[in-house]
This record gives sequence, C-alpha cells and structure tokens, in this order.
Amino acid sequence: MLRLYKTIRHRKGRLEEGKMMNYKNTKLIKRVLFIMFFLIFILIIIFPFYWMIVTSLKSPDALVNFSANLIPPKVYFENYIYVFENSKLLKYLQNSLIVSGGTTIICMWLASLSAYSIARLKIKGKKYIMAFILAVSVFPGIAMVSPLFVIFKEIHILNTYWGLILPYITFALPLAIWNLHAYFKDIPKEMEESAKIDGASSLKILWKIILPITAPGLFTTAIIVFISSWNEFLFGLIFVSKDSMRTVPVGIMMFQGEYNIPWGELSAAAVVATVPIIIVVLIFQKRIVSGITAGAVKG
Amino acid sequence: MKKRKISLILATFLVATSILSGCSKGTDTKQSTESEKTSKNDPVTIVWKRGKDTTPATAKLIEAFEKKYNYITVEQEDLPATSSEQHNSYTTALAAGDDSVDVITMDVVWSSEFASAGWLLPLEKYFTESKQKEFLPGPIASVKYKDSIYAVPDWTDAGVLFYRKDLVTTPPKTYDELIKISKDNIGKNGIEQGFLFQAFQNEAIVCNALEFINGNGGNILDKDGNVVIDSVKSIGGIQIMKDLIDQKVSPKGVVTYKPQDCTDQFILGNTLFMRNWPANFAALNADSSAVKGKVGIAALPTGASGTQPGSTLGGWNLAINKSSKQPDAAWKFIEFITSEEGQKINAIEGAYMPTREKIYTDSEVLAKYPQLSDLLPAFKVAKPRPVSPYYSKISDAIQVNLHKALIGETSVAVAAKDTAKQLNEIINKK
Amino acid sequence: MKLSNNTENLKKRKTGFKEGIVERNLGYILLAPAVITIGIIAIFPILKTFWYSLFDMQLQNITSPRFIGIDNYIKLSQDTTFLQSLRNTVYFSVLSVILELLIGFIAALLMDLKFKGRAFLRATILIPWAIPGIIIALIFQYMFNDRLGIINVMLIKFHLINSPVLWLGTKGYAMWSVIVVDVWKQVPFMALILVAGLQMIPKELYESCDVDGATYLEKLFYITIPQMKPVIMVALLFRTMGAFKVFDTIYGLTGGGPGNSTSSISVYAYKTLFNDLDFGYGSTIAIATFVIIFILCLGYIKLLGTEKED
Repeated sequence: MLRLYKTIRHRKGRLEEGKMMNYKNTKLIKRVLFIMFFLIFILIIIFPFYWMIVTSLKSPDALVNFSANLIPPKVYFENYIYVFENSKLLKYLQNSLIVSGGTTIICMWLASLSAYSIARLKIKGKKYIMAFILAVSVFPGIAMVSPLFVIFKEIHILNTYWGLILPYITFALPLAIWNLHAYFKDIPKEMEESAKIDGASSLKILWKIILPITAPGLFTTAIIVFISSWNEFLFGLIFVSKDSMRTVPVGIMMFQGEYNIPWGELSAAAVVATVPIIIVVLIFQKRIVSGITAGAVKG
Repeated sequence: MKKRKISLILATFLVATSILSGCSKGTDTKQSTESEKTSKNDPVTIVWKRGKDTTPATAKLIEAFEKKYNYITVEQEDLPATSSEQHNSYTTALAAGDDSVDVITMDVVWSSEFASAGWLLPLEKYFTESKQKEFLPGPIASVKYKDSIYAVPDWTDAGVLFYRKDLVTTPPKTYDELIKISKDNIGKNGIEQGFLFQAFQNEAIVCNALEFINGNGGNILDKDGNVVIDSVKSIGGIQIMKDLIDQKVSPKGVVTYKPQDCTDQFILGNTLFMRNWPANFAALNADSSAVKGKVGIAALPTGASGTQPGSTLGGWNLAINKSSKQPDAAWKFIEFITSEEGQKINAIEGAYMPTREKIYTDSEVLAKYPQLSDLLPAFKVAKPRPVSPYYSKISDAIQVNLHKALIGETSVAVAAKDTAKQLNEIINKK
Repeated sequence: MKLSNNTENLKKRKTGFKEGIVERNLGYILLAPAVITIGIIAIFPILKTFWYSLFDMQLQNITSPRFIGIDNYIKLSQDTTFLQSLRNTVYFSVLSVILELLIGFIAALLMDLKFKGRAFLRATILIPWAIPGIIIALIFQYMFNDRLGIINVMLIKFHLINSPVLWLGTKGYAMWSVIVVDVWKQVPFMALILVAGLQMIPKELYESCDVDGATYLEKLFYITIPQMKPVIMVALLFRTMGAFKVFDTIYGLTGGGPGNSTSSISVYAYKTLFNDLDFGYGSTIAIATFVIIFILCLGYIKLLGTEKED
C-alpha cells in the first residue's frame, strides 16, 4: 500500500514538474498571442474613430489634396472653433444630455421594479406580459412615427423634451426589463431566503440586497439605455423642428450640405459629440466591472 | 445608496424643468393663432422652413423683407440640408395637418406630390399668368399640377458638363466625341479617367440617367404621360452610361458616387470631364484646387439619336401650407424672395441660381459669378423629372432597375423593359 | 432569547393588514408603471398601423382610404422586392449576430481580466457604439470610397490588393461591407451585456474548480457559459431583433444597392412609407416585419429556454 502511494506521489510530482516547464513556455506563448490579439482588436475598433479625428484636424485644402493621409499635414483647429462658436452643437449636446439623462433615470426606475417583480415575485401570466413587452420593441419604429406625431401634436409636446423622453422610455423599457431580469435571475436565491427569514419585506430585499449585487448589471443597462437614446435619429428629426431643441444626431446631420459634406466640420462635430459619452462611460466603467461587492454572501 | 438619492433629485429637477418648458411652448402657439384674426397690419409672424443655409443669403433676405414690411416677423426654422430628410419632416407634419408652418421650401420634384395630397394652397389668385412669364419655363412647369399652380420657383439648378479647358479646347458635342477625346487623353498630363458621373442608388442615378436618355432623344414619359423609357432611343441613352463604364472611360465606381465623390476626384486633376451640378464650380476654382482656372462649363453632350443635350432640372420652390393661418403674409414673403430684388440678394450672397431670366444679365451678379452666362442656356433647356404625384415610386423603379443594368446584373434592354412595366403599373393605378 | 425576538418580529409582520395586500400584489404594483407607459405610448400606433394595413391608403386618397382587407398582405407575399429584402435581411442577421456574439464574447473575456490598461480597453471598446448610426454610415461610406477611401488606399499600400475594390458597388462585397460596419458598431453592446454577466458569476464556482486543476477552457465551457445562459440569451435575442430591423447602416452606406442586393425589410418599409407615402402598403410591410421578428423571438425563447417560472 505504502509503495503504491509513494509511486503515485512520485509520478504526480514528476507530472507537476513537467507541467511546470511546459506551463512556463505555453504561458509565454499565450502572453504574446494575447498581446497581439489585444492590439489588433483595439486597432480595428479605434481606427474609424482615429480617422474621424484626423479628418477633423485637416484644413479644407488638406481634405482635398491629402485626403488619404493618416496624419494631418498641419494640425488645423478651425474646424473645432467653428463647431464651438458658429454652430449650435453645444446646445444640441445640452438637449441630448437632458433627454438621454431623463430617459435613463426614469427608465431604470421603472425597469428595476418591473424586472424584480418578474424575476422573483408571483405574477400570473408572466410569460404573456414579457412577450407583450418584447413585442413592443420588435415593432419597427418607422411605422410609429406618423401616429405618434399626431398624438404628440394634440397634446402639445412636440418640440419639448418630453416629446422625446416619453417615446424613448417606451422603446428602451423592453430591453432594460429583459436585461435586468436576466441579471436578477442569476442571483442565488439563498441570499433572499435568508433575508426573508430575518423578516425583511420584498421591497427591502430589492433595495438593500438585490440592487447592490446587480450593480454591474444595473449600470450596464443604464449605459445601454443612455447611449441608445443618445443615438436615436428618426424621432429626433420628426418630433423636433425647432433647431434650439434638437438633439445631437440630428444636429450633426445639419452640418451636411445639399450636395456636399463638409468633412472637416462634420468630423469635428462628431468627435465633440462622442466625448461626453466616453466620459460617462469612464465614470461608470468601474461600476460595470466591479464584481460582487463584499459582504453580500455573508448574509 | 447615495447615488440613488442623487439620481432621485436629478430626476425631480428634470421633470420639473421639462414640464415647465413644455407648458410655455404650448401657450406660444395659442398666441399666434389668435393674433392674425385681426386686421391686416397688425403684427403677424410667419414660420418659414427650409434646409439649412450655410450662406448669409437667408439672413439678408429676411432682414430686407422685415424692413419693407415691418409688421411681419419671419421665424425661420432650419431642417437638414439633404432632400430626403426634409421630405420626411414635411410629409409627417403635413399629413398630420400641422399648421405651425406657413411657408415651405420644396425640392423641385415634390410639387405635384404635395399638391395631390392637398397640402398646398393653390396660388392662382396671387401668382398670375403674366407674373409666371418672368420665370424660366422649366421651373414653372415643375410647380404646376392639374390646371393649377402651387409654388413659386425660388432657385434653380441643372446638370452641366465640366471640362478641363486647358486640355480640351472645344467641349464635345456628342458622347462619341467625348469617348474619343477621353481615350486620346488618358495617360497624358496626369489624366487617369475620362468622365465622372453619379449613379448611386438614390435620386442621383435618376438625375443622371434622365440626361443620357433625353440627350439621345428619348424620355421617361412622353408629353401625354405615356411610359416611353423602353423606347429604342431611351434604351440607347441608358446604353451610353453602360458603354462609358465598359470602355473604361468612366470608373466602375460611378455606381457608388454622389455629387461630392465626383468633385473630390475631379479637383485632384486626374479627370477630363465631369457631369455635376453647377454649385461645385466654386470648389473647383478655390485656391487649394489643382484645377483652379482650368475648368470650363458647357452643356452636356448628346447621344447619337439626340438633337438637344439633356440637363436635369434641380432647384427648390416656395409654397404655402394649406393650413396656414396667415396666407396673405406668407404670400407677401414669397413674393419678396422671388422678386428681382430678392433673387439678386440670393444670387450675390448665396450663389443661388435665379429663376428669373433677367437676373442672368444683371451686371452686379455677373461681376461676382461670371459663369452664370454660360449656365443660362443650360437652364433654359433643363427638363424636369416626370411631374407626377407618384414621382417617388417612379424614381424608385428607375433607380433599382438601372442600377442593376450598370452593375451588369441585367442587360440595359431588360432593365428598361422592367422599368417600363413597373412604371405602367404605378401610373395606371389612377 | 434571539429566537423569541425573531418570532415576535414575524408575528408583527403577519398581522399587518395593509402590508399584506401590498406584499401579495407587489408584483403587479411594481410592474404596473412600466406596462402602463408602454401601453399608452406604443399600443395606439401599433394598432393604427395594423388598421392602415387593411386599407389602400396612399398620398392621393389619404383622407378617404379604401378598405381592402388582406389584399395588401396577398400582394406582399408575391412582392419580389420584399422577398429579396427578406432574404438579404436573414443573410445579414445570421452572419452579423454570429460574428458579434463570438467577437463580443472574446471582448467580454478580455474586459474581465485584470491587466494594466483595463480601464482604457473598457472605454475604448464602447467608442463604436457611442457614435450615432447615421454618422457611422457616412464615415464608412467615405472610407470605403473606391478611389479616395482610406481602406483601399491602405490595402493597396500593403500590397493586399492590386487595384481598388469597389466595396459598396459590387454585389457580394457590398453585403460584407455592411456586415463589417454593423459588427464594428454592435460588438460593444454585446461585450457590455456579456461582461456584466461575467462579473456576476460567483467566484467560488471557479475556486472549487481550480482546486481540481481545471484548465482555462474547461472552466469556460463548464462554468462560464452555462452560468451566462440567461444573459447570452437576452443579448442574442435583442441583437437578432436589432439586426432584423437594421436600417441606418444599410440606407446610409448603399441605399439598399447595388441593385437592391443589400436592401433590408426596414429599408423597404421606410422607402414605401416615407418616399412613396404609401401608408397602406407601408404599414403592411411594417406589420409583416413585426410578425416575422416576433415569431423568431418566441422561437429563441423556447429553444434556449428560461428556467422554471413561478
């Protein structure tokens, strides 16, 4: 018996040694591959944006004669000066921030409550309700524009922030609810059960336990809702005709001429418009990938 | 969590501000509708929507008008400059009976469409026959529908031929000449290609195709409204487009080109000829252009069976919303913009090409834009695209089928026949 | 002592009448605001669209449409343009979504790792998605231009191709160009949803595997993916829906061309509704689009299955 045991231990030991050597080599190869893949990946993702920045820094002359240069021959800031001083981009940014911000906040409230109730509470006809919610987001927005325009005109919310926030909430809710309900489902039931035994009500459970744990899911969904409303074009074009109330996507389209596109100014506007989103994401990215907060498991 | 509290406060703030701002907008519209019911010279505001103008012309026009009629205030709203976005905005609003806009600026092909939908105010009592005669014939034809006239031409446009006058002394009169001259010159003096035109699958291909078809003596619809796009001459015209690509006089990329793509290449000096809208001339003559001072403008060539060069009419017209509450004031505004004084301001400040023939011989205007005298002959013979309330569907049928022909998926004859079949279905739906 | 406290607490809870009602119907109460909002805003347009589809309602007879029942739908089933658009849409969606899922998953795994520059990666990955769709279409159209576009210029410079390729004007290439642009744009969305799901997998599951000496791939296939099933399903569901509804990318890059080979059902619906102003038939296309995608979604849900509902 002892002999067998010793042999096995010895073999395992050797295997471990062998593994260690191979392990070091494969680790190096893995590292290199990883870095290469990482770089190519980042390159492909960033390149069009880099191209936009380069284009925005070219003078009209450079755009014509050096249109394919990867680096602008001379850095030309006038496009940005135009965007900030002569165009309404800052106003468009303000409008977009208010509309998208409002949409996100309200949508997240409604969606959290709904998703929690669907994931954890007793409701008859759950499947049908979820199907109904899903159906709404499946419907092509193109067809909704005319009927909605008529309604909004009647209740005088055209050219107002609500005129955009309301439809944006409606179309963001399905994704938000479905998304959150998937995250809520992932939470082990034991946590809630132990809280219930301690006598907490469902609402308290939602507030004190579920929301903190699903913080990554919450912030992810919030960012998705925010960016989706930020990028929306069709409703923004049709429901707002006063230039001072326009949102960013429609605002950037205003830079386009009838037959030509002033690439320098348009790219500058697009770059400026992307910056707030990147800031929002940078602020929240820690929350997205923060992982389970300590203490939740202890219960 | 603190963040939740902050977001709650933010939300309340947003809700409050939005509701307040929403309320005030509501009362504004109520005010303007009440005010106009009173007598003529009481202050009146009219709302004018047009595509965004990057020139000072619009501002100067409004300034001059408000000086003359100081009881009328013009509120100008910008729409994106691209035609299709404006179309969407107008149709949605007008179909819903929107009365918040008084004067609209329509692309030249929309008049019969909008008129047939009942969205435009007929203008016979304002815009009499004698007044109409002061305008170019093409634009006037584009604003008439079924015995009535619905808009006033504001500014016009027509396809022309740009050529390198430093390399080609006389512009070609026929496409055969153009092909020959191109082949002779490709490879010399930095010329890499012969003729650039636009065939992107949207309105661009229709405008260009019409010129080739008309230039060969054919047409899309004849004067009685019958479909003739599959006539021998029409097919011949479309065939020229295909031949240009096949014989490598035009790059196969033309099927993806819009006006600016062509200008971007021509300006580098590697092309001999280009079909484009006159507005591109300014860019070609800018200091940074490699072809500055070397560009001439002429009428497009004709095909073998054609007698007159083709030139598709572009441009924009002014109309009054049928639901407008102040049509008289709106008319005064339109009358002013399209008057000689207004068109001169438009031409000088914004390089908008006039629809009144007289302006083309005005010395001040010519001093700034001498090429206008070259353009006038083209504008006089410019032909509109089919004037029909079904124009969108007609355009779509032409776009898809002709594009298929140019990329080689079908033959030109088959494409023309398919188009004719679809057009007949569309038109006979009456 | 503690026990008696607990039972006292429980007793207190159960005797409150008001709390009982709220507690029992909490599900419905919490759900109500969202459902009501959606109902009020979305129901009317959806019903109206369905109503219009039963009429011959175009620009000319907009105030007096003609009731034609299901004639529009019969016409649709024989409409070659619609069928071609449908084929294009299916081809586009299948390829796009598969690519997005694969690349998005890899991106999510990358974002999950601890390494220097992680924050940079996370912010960078979101850039494609932060730019509005129509702007992306414009910029890529500029980049794909056959003679002046940067893509051809660079491909030729690196001797990967000999002469300029007409990406957007050649039948097969155009579809692939559109797919590439859409994948570029949507990978962040996928990655975001997936990484949040990744983050929520309890670390203990991995730790117990490590003790047994599991490899990276084993952990991936036996723990990560099964745990992520609900999240993957949501991501797939919404991305497939999004792909089927694709509009901006195609309309902006090719206008549906060349020769209608990239036209999607949304592009066709848009043209019919907004260009042709054929409200009756356009609504029919919209309803058909809706039905097709919805059936797909139901299929997804049944296939990937949700866990036992209460």
